[in-house]
Amino acid sequence: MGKLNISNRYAKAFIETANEKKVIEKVTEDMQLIQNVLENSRELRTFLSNPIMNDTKKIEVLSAIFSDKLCDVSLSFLKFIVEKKRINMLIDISRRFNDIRDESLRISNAEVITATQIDDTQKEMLKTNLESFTKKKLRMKFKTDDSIIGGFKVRILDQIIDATLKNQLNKLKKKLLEESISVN
Amino acid sequence: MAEVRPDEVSSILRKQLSGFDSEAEVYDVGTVLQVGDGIARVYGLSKVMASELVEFPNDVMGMVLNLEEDSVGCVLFGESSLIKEGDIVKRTKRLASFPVGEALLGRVVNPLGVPVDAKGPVNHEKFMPIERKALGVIARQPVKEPLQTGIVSVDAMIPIGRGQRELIIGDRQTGKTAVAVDAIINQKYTHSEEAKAVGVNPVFCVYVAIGQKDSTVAQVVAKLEQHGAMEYTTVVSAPASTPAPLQYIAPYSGATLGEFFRDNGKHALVVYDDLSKQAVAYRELALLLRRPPGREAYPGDVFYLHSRLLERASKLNDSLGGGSLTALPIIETQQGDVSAYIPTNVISITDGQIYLEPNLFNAGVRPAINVGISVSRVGGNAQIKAMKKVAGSLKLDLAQFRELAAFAKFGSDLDKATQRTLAKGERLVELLKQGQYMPVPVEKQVISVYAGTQGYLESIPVKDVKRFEKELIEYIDVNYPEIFKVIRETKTLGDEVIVTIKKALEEFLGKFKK
Repeated sequence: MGKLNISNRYAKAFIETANEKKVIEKVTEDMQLIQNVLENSRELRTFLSNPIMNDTKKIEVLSAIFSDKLCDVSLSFLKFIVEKKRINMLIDISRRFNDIRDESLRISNAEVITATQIDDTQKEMLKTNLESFTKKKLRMKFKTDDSIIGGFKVRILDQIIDATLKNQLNKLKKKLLEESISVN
Repeated sequence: MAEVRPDEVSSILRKQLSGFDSEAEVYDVGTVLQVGDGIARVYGLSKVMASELVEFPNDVMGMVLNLEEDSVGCVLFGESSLIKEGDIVKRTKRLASFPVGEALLGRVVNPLGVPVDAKGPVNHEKFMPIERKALGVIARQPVKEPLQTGIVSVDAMIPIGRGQRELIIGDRQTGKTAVAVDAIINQKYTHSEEAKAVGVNPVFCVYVAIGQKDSTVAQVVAKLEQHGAMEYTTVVSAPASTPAPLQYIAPYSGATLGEFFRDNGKHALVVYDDLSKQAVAYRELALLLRRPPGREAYPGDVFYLHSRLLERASKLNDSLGGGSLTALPIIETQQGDVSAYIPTNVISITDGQIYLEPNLFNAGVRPAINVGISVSRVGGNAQIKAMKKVAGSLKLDLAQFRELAAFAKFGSDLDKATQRTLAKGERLVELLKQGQYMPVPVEKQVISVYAGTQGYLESIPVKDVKRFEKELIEYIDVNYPEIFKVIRETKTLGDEVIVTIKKALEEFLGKFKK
């Protein structure tokens, strides 16, 4: 069974239990926190996937880190996947959990690349425009990259909206190369 | 000295730029996870279609073959070393397609329609997807018009009709390509005014070369040019040096071009040379894409690979224009083993097969067609009436000859009747020998076969049979040209013509013996 398949099952099951216990909002926050922590700490990742460490140690460490930050449901879920020997996949499960939640809430991540810094009003305008274009709520992330020369580029999931000067110049170059210029 | 004014230059540039729009571009992308051996696994591309073209960096194109849960398997039509992990892959929203149009005639192109003959760009009419579902029952009608190959033994005994699929099968070096190339060269006649007058429609040809040496392809093209056959022929070339994905799609590209002619009410002949190499290319792809191997390590859908290709050959009904697409697939066997996987598959798909044998080839019987096991399941419907009439006994005579020839090896004392059958058989075999690139028009074939089956060759020594035939045709051409004219125009052999033919044959026989 593939990684995706396993994390999918755990994530979906957890969403269902959280829904039943009516703590889904809190649990979503928890899973986002877990994903962030794991993505930022390589040490924790290697520790959790290390087979030499036994399960009690892993539970101890996890509760030491998270006990005062997570709700009871999330903590017991962590214990559960440790017992099921799937704690090494915690990061995949949390990612999958957040993806599924985003999908059901119609939220996407949008990464905007601009050549220079843009101010907050421009950011706000871009966000409202993009949201009406994609008909989704967007979680914006801004980056600068001067190699695009001018304009902006947005990536939402697999879709790219490319309004950069670099892309236009490339297109122009292609067009000019295709049609050999004929005099008269 | 000629001068170029700066404002002239800028006006030209402005004209070029006028059609350029500077709107934002929206496209879907994915990321390369893994690349190697002409295969790339891509993450993302969530809305991509199966067999859609995708664009990799460095102008490498790819085609999506596998849609999996968390990744997409693509085959690359270019160097896989130009692509690295993490590269961005763009969707083109265009299924793999091939340019079609009359402008492709006389050109040599690769399976994506890019010309490789240094004759400049091709002004194609439009793109058509290379994979199209074959037509259903309603759109078709039975095969009834002949497609003359110009090879006497084929046209007389294994007739091919327009819209038929006839397999050419044999070991290496038995003249498989020669049969196909002769068939293409013989279509020159159908493009003449003379053919138009007697109601024969032109046949456009496509020669698909898969996994062959570049030099072989160049040789075929040169031969076609030499005989004026390139005017109505397109060569789709995927030589051995091209990546396996291109070799795999080459026959479909050729079929697409053939379908363009067919759908416009014209007639097309497509030669696939050869499909065993295509199956090998497909096996390579399938194994690299980790599809489970089956018999001879071919994937499970290798039958469908060929059946969906050959099923596209068809004769359209009159309400759709009555066009046709004839397919001549070629299969190379190993040591005459026709019970291998690919040969049996293709034999069962096609409407008959032409067997070429190395023994016959080495014995000087060329084309080395074994008429005993070669068949055409369309049969007499694909022959003109005149040929049907004279060829009926030819196959029988040859069958009797083969049966007796096997016995005659044991004993020497043979009765008169047996000796006569043997003598006749030997002369018929001699009569069916034919040089390469020398197609014979059907009316001349009728006369030769008539002379052979009616026993006019009995008194001619075997070594003189070919000379007799040649001189006979010349004699009739000069003294009784009306015979050829009548056969050509009426396509039948009436009693009056037979009387004239008999007269001419007897006259000539008398002269020849002197």
